[in-house]
Amino acid sequence: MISSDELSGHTFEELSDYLDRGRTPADPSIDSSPECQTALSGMQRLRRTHRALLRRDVQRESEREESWVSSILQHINLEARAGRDIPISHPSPTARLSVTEGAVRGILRAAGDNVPGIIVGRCRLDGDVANLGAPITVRVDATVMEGENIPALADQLREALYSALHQHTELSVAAVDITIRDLYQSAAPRRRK
Amino acid sequence: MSDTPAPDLLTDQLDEAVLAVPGVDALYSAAPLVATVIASVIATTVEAVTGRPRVTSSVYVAEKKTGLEIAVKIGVTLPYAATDVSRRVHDAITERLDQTGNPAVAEIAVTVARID
Repeated sequence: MISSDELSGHTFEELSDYLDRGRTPADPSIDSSPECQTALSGMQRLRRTHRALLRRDVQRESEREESWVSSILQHINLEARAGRDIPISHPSPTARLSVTEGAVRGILRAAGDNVPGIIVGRCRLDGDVANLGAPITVRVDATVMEGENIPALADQLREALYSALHQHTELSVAAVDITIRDLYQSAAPRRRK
Repeated sequence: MSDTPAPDLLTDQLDEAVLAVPGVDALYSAAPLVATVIASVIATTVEAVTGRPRVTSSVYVAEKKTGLEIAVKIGVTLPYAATDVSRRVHDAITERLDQTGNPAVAEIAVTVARID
């Protein structure tokens, strides 16, 4: 893995191993990095969801193809980077307040993961986020569980994303575009021979 | 500027003030890369000499011609809002500076680096 894929000097595999070990022994270089912490939170949520899905599939005696999980993990890792500074207003002329783009993407992913039946894949903020008041568009790709009502879930997700953005930023959100890229289908039960 | 505490004491006081703000659950080093490397070398040296880890402050304070430049990088815990917490952190720093001699301030930069 090349260095540009690293978060605060740690590869995705190192962060994954750290989670596997229950974050022990404590690694200060990971624990003191907000980018690593954001990535670990996203990875942990995805693991929980994935385990629940696997349990359901195992009950149906099936195996799950895991490339989509790897793809989501890659997005978590990429999006945890600090990115641009998004300004927060304050009346004092000496104040310079901001929230990082990585922190906002992390909270958007968390808000999306809290909507049952949906898993956020990729999350992007398009537009001049560094300019207070400039219109921006949020673009999210997601996977929906088989059997769910996609338009209704997309509405729930959009509402959750708007709510998180409104709570933590002063971004002028022109649109939240959601694309359902995948449908998570539980494998069909095996036929008895 | 008058009665401004020594930088180490001031940064320790600001660390304490920032961590006391409701919603702040982490304080990350806000120092520029060069300063971080120097601090790391000093910490390693102190550890080697004393056998004890040196506790370093996270709030970064630099004395410039126009006044103090202060930078702080925080993690915010839900359900607190990053916007509100960052403003309260700024105000807590201002209040603490008032108590320590009201030095001239060029800039107070507060960055929310994680929300969890």
